[in-house]
Amino acid sequence: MNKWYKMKHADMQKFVSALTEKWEVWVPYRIDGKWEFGIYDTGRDLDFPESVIHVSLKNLFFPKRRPIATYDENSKWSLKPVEPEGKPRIVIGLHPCDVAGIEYMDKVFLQSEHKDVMYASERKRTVLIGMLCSEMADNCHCTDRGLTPDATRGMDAAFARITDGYLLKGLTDKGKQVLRSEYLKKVDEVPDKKDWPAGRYVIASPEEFMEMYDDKIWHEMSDICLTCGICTYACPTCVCFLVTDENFKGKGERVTVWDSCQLQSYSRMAGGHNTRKTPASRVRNRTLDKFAYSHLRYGQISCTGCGRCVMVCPLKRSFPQLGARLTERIKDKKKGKSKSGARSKEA
Amino acid sequence: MAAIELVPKPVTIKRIIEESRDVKSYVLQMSGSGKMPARPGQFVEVSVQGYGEATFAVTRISKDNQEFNISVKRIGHLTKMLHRAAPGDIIGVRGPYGNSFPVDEWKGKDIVVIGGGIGLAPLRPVIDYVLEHRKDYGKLEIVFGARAPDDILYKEDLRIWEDDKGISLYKTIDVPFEGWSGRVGVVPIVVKDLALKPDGKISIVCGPPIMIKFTAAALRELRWPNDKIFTTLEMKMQCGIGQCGRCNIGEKFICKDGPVFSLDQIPEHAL
Amino acid sequence: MKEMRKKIEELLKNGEIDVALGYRENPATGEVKADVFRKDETLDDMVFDERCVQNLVNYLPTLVARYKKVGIVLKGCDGRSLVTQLVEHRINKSQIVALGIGCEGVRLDGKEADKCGDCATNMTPIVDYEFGEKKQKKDPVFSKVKEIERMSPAERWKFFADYFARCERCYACRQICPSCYCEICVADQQEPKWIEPSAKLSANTMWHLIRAYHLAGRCADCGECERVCPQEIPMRLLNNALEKAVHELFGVRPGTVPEEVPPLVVLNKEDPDTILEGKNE
Repeated sequence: MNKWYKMKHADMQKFVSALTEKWEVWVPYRIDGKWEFGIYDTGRDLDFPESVIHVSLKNLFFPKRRPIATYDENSKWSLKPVEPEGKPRIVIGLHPCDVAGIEYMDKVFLQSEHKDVMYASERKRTVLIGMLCSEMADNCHCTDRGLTPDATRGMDAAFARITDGYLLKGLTDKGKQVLRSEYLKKVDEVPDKKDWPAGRYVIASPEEFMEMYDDKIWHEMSDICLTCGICTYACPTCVCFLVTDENFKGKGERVTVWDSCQLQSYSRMAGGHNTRKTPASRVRNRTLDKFAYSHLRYGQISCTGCGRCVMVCPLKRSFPQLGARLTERIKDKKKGKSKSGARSKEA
Repeated sequence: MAAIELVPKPVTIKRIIEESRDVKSYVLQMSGSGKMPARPGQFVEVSVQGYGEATFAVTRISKDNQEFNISVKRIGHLTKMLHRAAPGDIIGVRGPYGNSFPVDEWKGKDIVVIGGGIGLAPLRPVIDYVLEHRKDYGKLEIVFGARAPDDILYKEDLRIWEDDKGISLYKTIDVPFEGWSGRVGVVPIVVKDLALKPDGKISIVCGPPIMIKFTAAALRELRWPNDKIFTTLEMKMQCGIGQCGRCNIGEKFICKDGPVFSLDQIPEHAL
Repeated sequence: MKEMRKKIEELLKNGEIDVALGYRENPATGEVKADVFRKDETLDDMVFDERCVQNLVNYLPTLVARYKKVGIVLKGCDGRSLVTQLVEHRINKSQIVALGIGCEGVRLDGKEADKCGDCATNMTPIVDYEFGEKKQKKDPVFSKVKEIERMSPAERWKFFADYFARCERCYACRQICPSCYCEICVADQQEPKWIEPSAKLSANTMWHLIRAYHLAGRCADCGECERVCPQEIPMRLLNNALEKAVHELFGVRPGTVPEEVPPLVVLNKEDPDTILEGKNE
């Protein structure tokens, strides 16, 4: 199945409804103007955004709060691991930046000496049917991060919206199997190729970022950051967590909970010593982690250009804007060496 | 399906040793045929059910790997619960994690062990190892500092090391104390006074962050190169397996790439 | 505004202040943001109008640590939150020069900000130089709180629980609040662990209630917590409910009187509560 298949607009709903018999199907919903993935209720209207979905998929694979073991509070030791469960599921409508986020999480949780088996099980039970973006939203900058809005890499199947319906294509065995449906007709059409704009938030290389560790710019940048944690929760590649025990009415759970390097409590150790006490040190950690450490660790910078950190920032100071500003500083430092390339839009 | 690595396994507290006014050591026995094959410098995550977990260096390992020790200073909520535990109680443990001191690469060298307070804990397995393989190593020198006589740990070991002719032991306390006739002065000063030479030697340093920092400075002043000074950065860790994110020094994770580093492997600000 | 700009220029020039904290307009986007103004620049892009929503007091502690003397442009509500900072000795008055401006109300999301409805003073109570028109104080109405009070307990719980469930515990509300400055926040304490760290309804509820209680009698209703909340949780409702209680019990509106210690921080025999006389059984 190397060709694209066509499906009529009205058939998409029937197709997805049919899938719910065997699968748990996740689709984007618009709630109060914000797009978010949810489990599909048969018969509900289906729609897909042209571009990035506001809430990332991170929660589906690595939940905000994830019980990993249970125990009886009244015993001294009765800790039992939580067995991963859940029926096979399909996520329909994710975008290339979401795939990049999942690829990064795979590196953290799967390419590890101690593989996270709960994450692995969530990955294994999920078929990814991606949607090619038809436009770039206000904060999108994946083209500055080596991605293309209409690329299909990492998806099991992909689809694109066209005027009178959708074009679909299976990419892996799993994906092809899901697309076996009476609603699909073979066609010669292919999705339009577009020239995607770039240059919104161009950043320096990981090596150049590493040289900025001692720069005074961190103090300037932290002045305009609250160091709240919302950008890290919104980020598809921020997967820091804490492990804690929570007791409720005699039942105890050991859980992993999303944590954020932007919060003071993150690096505070028992006894009170805190290695990242100042906002500047926390902003530096996050910035360098996104643009440099991640690359040195896994060979992939952990910014996918999805722009979600911009959407959620309470101060509307965008994180990529900080990255771009830092890049300007790097250029200033090396003045004379290189002429400025694409300038950031807002910096 | 195998359980997620983050879920600990039960161990029994076999014996508790009161080391000092706020430090207790625990001899822990693995259940069933479980083993704890920890190498010197490795650490474990210890859980008290209902109170979470924390990182502790393994401070002694039995030959059959079925028993191991940890030393616990009472500073937070989990350590408080551990201090309330009694022999026979079951707690959780996972590990061993992290790299270890490259003791095999040090063969033929003199070993200088420099510990400050509870910082001696992760270094004791190195001393044990060297004493066990004596003929493979040169001289063993131990500098150990505590705040006050009450804070001195491993008193029994210290007595044995003191009597051992092959070991030079320098005990010190930070400030003068009634009834203390020994050496007085903080570890970095003592190191300087002893004028320890780097030739044919390896030094390993652990203690509070400020002590590590100034001891490293003292050693450098004595012309020790960075690659001959080792430390173990027992800090910030939580998951122990390089996933939770918080123990990073630049791109490195203390729990995965460390906790043992020679000073040429880490930037200055990490100390 | 012109006069104020002139005054600030003068203060900067003759060294009476090292920097001035004010609002700067980005001419390209029309956006107005808090910023620091220095001696070597013209103040052409300094503005004060209905777009100046931010409470500048939150930036003061960083600046007074860095400079000897800081000028600050203050609306009424910001000035009231400054009173709390001074009373609690977080900031020393000798380090600041207060430039008060008669606020005509600010706009949020295209309409007048809700907080302006019950504004206690349009002019800051702490003021060295006064500009614009000072308006008469009026009594608060607390109309939204009263609406909530009319609900049955079950309705009220549902109303808030729906919001609390959405909280992500990003702590933007805490980070932006000038009065939330504990060295170790109650939400981060490990021993005892008052609030569990995970974002679930029970823990979120604890967080929001404790946060509000800690601000009772101290919160001057600058509204920043609600403005920055990414989940749009109506935190001002909780703050206002406690503000209303404090007003009814003690006749106090937080921050309106310089040097007045918040009522819940002092013990006073005239307090309406009978606990001191042992009459509570």
